[in-house]
Amino acid sequence: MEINEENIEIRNKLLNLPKIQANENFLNNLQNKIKRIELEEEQAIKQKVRGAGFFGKLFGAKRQPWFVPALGLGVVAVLVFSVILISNKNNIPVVNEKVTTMSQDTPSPQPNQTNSGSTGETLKKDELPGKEITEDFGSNENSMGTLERKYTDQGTNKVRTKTETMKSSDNESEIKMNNALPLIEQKAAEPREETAKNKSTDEMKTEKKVIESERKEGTDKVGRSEYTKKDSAKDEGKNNNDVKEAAKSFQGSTEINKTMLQDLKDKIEKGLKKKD
Amino acid sequence: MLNSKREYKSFTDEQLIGEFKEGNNDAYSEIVIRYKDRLVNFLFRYTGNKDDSEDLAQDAFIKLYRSKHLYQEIAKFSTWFYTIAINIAKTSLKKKSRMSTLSISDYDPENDKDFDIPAATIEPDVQANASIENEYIQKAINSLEETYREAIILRDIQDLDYEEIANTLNVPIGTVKSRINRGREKLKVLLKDIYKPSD
Repeated sequence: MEINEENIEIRNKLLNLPKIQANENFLNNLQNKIKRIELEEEQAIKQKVRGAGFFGKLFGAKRQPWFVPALGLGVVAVLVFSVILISNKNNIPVVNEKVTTMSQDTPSPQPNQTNSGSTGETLKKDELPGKEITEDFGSNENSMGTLERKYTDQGTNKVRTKTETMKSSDNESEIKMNNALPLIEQKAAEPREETAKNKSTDEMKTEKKVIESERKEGTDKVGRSEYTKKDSAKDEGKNNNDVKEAAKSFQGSTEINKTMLQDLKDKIEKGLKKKD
Repeated sequence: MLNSKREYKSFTDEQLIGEFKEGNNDAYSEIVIRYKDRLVNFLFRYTGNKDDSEDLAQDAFIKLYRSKHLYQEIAKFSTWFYTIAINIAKTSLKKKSRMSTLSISDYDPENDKDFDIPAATIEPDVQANASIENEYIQKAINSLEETYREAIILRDIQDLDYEEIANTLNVPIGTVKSRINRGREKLKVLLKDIYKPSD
């Protein structure tokens, strides 16, 4: 009350200030504003009832904070799983196809197809036929494709071109060969072991015949799908002839090697005697 | 909707807001009728602008309409409603101060003078005019700091008691008294040319 007494004049003056009254339209304006707000709220409720749609639910304001990273991880996991599954499914038949294609390609070279790009190694080895026979024979033990080289090393142009086509006949089969090495090596293991024992030429002949007959059977069973029906019938006859010629040349080359080795031995013995 | 029934005129403010909380819009209409002039007057003295005061009063009534469930019977309704109105007015003034080109730096805190009204505007003939005098007082009120202004308006214009003012401003009663005292001292300085001591 002391405060009021000290400034009583100012207080009285402020209390006596004219009272401002609201306009006559105050109530109407207020009523309109309230109606407008109610309409807006109704619309908002309707929108909520309708829902925000698929993307609105996913990325709208009311989404859960963990939803987007969880969705991303889920999608990535599904993708990785599907990729692994597909790759596994593809790998198994690819390996089988490799084996079948190998069995088809090796005994049935196509003489009409040539590929100069793959002749680099074979041409160099033609310069030293004597060594190459043994090397190629060794390489024949390593993989199925080395048989082809052996035919080229024998020296005739005809045979050389045939082997080139065998390599270039199907690039995909070469790639598959690289991928299917384990299975191929299993098949090639039997001839490797036998050749490593240095059997006689007669035995080698019989073995080659057996191998060739097995390959023919493989081609008959598996692989006519890659060739057309017309070409495959022709190729089989040609392939049989080629294989026979190759086998003959291989026999001749081994005999030549034996004679050369004997000559060398004789020369060495003569040289030793002279020294003595 | 805003047509109050006669029966609500005998209700207290707290009874009316209780009825309104139960969904009776007639009670809300009675509240609007009771408080619209008081609120517009308070907001006019607080802002110094008639149009703004009406808009802010409507905003306060809309806030009341939408936030009726927030009222608790512990407090007096008038206190609670003035609090709503003051908060709306403060928010509006802050928005205006951001938008206006006039800077707050016009205020000189070193001399602790809120606003000096030029002496040239006060002439003997004008002093006799009540409307100009009221305008002059209003300018002086508007030049007060916000804490003093709201306390002076609630006490000397709206004629609330100290407890109500303390509850409205959410400060102790002692703080309210000191603010009112200091506000009046400042007004006395600002209005020295109009009000000379009568003794």
